[in-house]
Amino acid sequence: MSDRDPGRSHAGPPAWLRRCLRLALPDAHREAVVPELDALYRITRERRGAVGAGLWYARQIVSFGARLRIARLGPHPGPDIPSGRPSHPTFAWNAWGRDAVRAIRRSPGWAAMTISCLAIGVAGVSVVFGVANWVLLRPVPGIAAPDELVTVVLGSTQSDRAAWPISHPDLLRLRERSRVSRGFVGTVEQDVHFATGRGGTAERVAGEIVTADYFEVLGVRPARGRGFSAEEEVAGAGDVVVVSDRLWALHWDRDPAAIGSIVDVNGAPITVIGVAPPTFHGARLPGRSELWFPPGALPTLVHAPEILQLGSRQVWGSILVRRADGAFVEDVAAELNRGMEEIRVEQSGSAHSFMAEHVVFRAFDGIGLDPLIRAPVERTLWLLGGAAGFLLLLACTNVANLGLLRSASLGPSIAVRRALGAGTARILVGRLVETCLLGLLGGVLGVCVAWLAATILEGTGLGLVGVPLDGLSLDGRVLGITIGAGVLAGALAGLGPALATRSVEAGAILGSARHGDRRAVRARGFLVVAQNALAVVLLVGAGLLGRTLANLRDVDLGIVPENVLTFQLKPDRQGYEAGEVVALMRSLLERLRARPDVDAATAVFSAPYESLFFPGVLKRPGAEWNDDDVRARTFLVTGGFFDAYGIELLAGRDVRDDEAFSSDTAARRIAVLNEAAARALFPGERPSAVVGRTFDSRAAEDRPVHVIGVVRDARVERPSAPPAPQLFVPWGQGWEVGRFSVAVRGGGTTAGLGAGVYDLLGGLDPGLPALSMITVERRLDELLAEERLLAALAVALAVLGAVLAALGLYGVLAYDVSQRTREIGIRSALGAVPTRILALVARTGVGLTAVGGLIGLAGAIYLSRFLESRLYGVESLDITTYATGGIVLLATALLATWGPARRALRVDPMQALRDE
Amino acid sequence: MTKRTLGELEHQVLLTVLRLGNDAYCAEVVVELDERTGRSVAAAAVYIALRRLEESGLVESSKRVSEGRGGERERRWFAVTAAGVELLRDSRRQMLELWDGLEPILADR
Repeated sequence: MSDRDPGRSHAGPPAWLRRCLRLALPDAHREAVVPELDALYRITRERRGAVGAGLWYARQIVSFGARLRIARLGPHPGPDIPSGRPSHPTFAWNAWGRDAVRAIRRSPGWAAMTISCLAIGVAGVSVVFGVANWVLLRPVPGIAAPDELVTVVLGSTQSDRAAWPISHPDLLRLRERSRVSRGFVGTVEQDVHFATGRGGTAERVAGEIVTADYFEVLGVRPARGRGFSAEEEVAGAGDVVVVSDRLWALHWDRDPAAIGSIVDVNGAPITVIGVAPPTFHGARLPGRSELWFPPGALPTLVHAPEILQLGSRQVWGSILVRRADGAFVEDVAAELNRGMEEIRVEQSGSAHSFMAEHVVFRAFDGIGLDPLIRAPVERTLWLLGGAAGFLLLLACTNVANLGLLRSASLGPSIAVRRALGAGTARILVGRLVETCLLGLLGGVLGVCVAWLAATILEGTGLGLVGVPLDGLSLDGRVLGITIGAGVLAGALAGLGPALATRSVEAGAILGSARHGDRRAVRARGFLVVAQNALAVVLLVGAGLLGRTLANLRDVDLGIVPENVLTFQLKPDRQGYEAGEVVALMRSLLERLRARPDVDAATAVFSAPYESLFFPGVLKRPGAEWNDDDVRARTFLVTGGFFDAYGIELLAGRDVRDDEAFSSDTAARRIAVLNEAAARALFPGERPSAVVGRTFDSRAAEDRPVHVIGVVRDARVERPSAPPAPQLFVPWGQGWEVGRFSVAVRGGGTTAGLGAGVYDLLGGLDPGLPALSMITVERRLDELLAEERLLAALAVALAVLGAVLAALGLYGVLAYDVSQRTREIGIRSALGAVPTRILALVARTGVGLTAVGGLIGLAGAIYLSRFLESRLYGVESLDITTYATGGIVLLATALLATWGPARRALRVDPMQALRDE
Repeated sequence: MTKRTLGELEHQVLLTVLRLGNDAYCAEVVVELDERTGRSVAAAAVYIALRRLEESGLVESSKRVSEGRGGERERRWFAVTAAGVELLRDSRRQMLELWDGLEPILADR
């Protein structure tokens, strides 16, 4: 027998496997089984090798763990069992898991309620975090070591928002002198007209001008061809382009022969030298670049041969720096500002521009979302995150409440377990495992809800400060956080009720345990109050944001936005001279107006709701120029502008086409004012009295400007911005501009207009695409995207909050009625009328809601200050909204009372008494 | 003890313990069963069978110290009790009764 004795050869199983086995085995069998399996392991190892034996051993762990539990064997009856060892409480997780599953299956209603409450609470957090993750935290695809990169924003000492570009020679000097960087790249966005063949139909494509080592610094390798060389930074030597993978697939069907082909960009021939990797769309988020040009291509693209020279236009809008080891983001900004100061000293008195005098560099860690819009986005998300946190808190109170009810109903069974010798820790841990498991399930369900919500959000076209949410997805990070939040919420919410079971005494008998102890009843009432308070805060917040959105939608814009289509043309990109631009404008307007479906058409720079515009400075004739001058947004218009936008003419007349297209510089200067400008220049005078008067304009130099008309105030920037002074000047009397917008008012709908415009333009110049074609209504919607997002999410959170509060109240009342069946029975036996019984139930519900509601209203008054900056047309302490919030809550509370109250009415006195 | 019938595995385990010299530990029974019957049995099933047999008083066990790697350790050794032997004898007789005269039929088919 010794030949087969397994005890002699080879080592035993790995220690960790043996530990697993010890954990899996019930206490009574541990000492007996472990040596036997050790012996068998050695034999198996001889036959199947270490890996095979390991797998076999793992299988045995499961097999023994499961079978021994099912078999329910007693302790060894043998006389020689070591009995001295005290049994210690072991944490048999599998046993607890089994108990928890059993408990959940036994009360599916409670479990379903708990899981759905948690799911709703977690889903809110998940959606908000998902949006934050998408907008703020998502890495820019395709870029190596993004942590080392620093985004430098060029601002000005004159304004804290305006982009303030620097010239090409200045950038080269700064790059040369940079010591804290391993890579230094200038970039500027440059949208272009792009066509693959000469004279082909052009489209607008987003591009970037970048310095030559752009791709190397970002760690991006072109998928095909090459990046830029240093020579291509020189004017005339760099008419080359790297195209995006998307364009390559679209126009060349991924043909390698694309490299070396000539494309038409802004009317000039440019050679394709490379294709960017598939996911790469520049260092910004949302990435949209499709074309990358070296600086050498810029003179060709903008038809300005001298642009890269000193004293010409400012070129570079942003700088990306890869930090040297040990350098901080502050060093980058400090070095750049120091360098710029040196340049100013060297250049003092020369052709250096006003802009270079005032440029200031601000550096931000990382790349991605524009650092300037990051802060407002973060504020919005904190706000939404706060609301989502409230909802989760609400869900937790609900779960805690349900847990308390369950603790009460578990009382008898816990008393029995106590009597059988279960310790407090054992019972506590058991209940906690239960709620954690429910939390896990709630988290998983919450992910599903969040995924659904994200899909809906994605489809709505809502956005956050211009960051569209299409493509919004919930990645592993969001899922992890969501499920984690579910478990944590479950555990926290389960702690209280679990502790409540502590007080159940072993001696408690069935009858007395049923009435629950007073503390638990008070705790439940407190939780319902808390829930209602939280719900009211959410309701008031949603009400304020909802009314803001409604106010913005209903605001009197002063224009008629229906049936107006606008688009931009940028003929200067194609090299049009000023005269050619006017000729193009003229023939385009003529053709448009000849169409039967067009009521009015006009050309304007810049159109309402475009962000770029001319500020005009005006003063009364004879007054001195000083700080009190009237600042007015200036529109260069042709005839038909007020008809096209539906702006009402109060006095005088419109600008005529012949005035707009005249290039006669000696002609009388004329302008139309809006009411605000008229008020500012001629205080206290009626519009009709203003017509015919004159004023001075900085732009018109020394010549007086005659007012030919006054129009109603219109909101032309954002719906929320009150009308400021506006000035409408004939095109020919303004600055020389090479681009313009066209607004077309259709007779019926705008549906057919777009196609008509494309046809017309194709006939005029196929190389000239219509840019940003959009109806004014859509544009207004876009401008309100953030308000809509905020209002939609706030309302959704508030509705869910009210539902949760109602569920909580319902649970408490239903339990209350079931506990008071006897009392109710006696009362109705003694002749209480149904209304009295109803009042009995409703009193509890309404009382708890009212107290919670009042506390919530006070909280909302305090918290509403955080919303103040986002409100429009409604005070943060708007009585109506607060009252409505309270009423909505009360109504939901009454709804929640309805079911339990009906049950109370149906109590049969005889039955109730017999049961006792 | 009331009349107890044996399950198939219990039967086999009891026979194996007897075969191993009435002096066997669990792992040995598993290996022996494996080799004799040619089918692999779950170690846990054998362990449980031994414990059930012990509960029914058909086997008895005692602890002994055996030497293994890593020093001495206690293991449980099993032996068939008189009652176990009696039951086996009974069972064998019944089986033989049932088998009587059936061999030729099986051989034919």
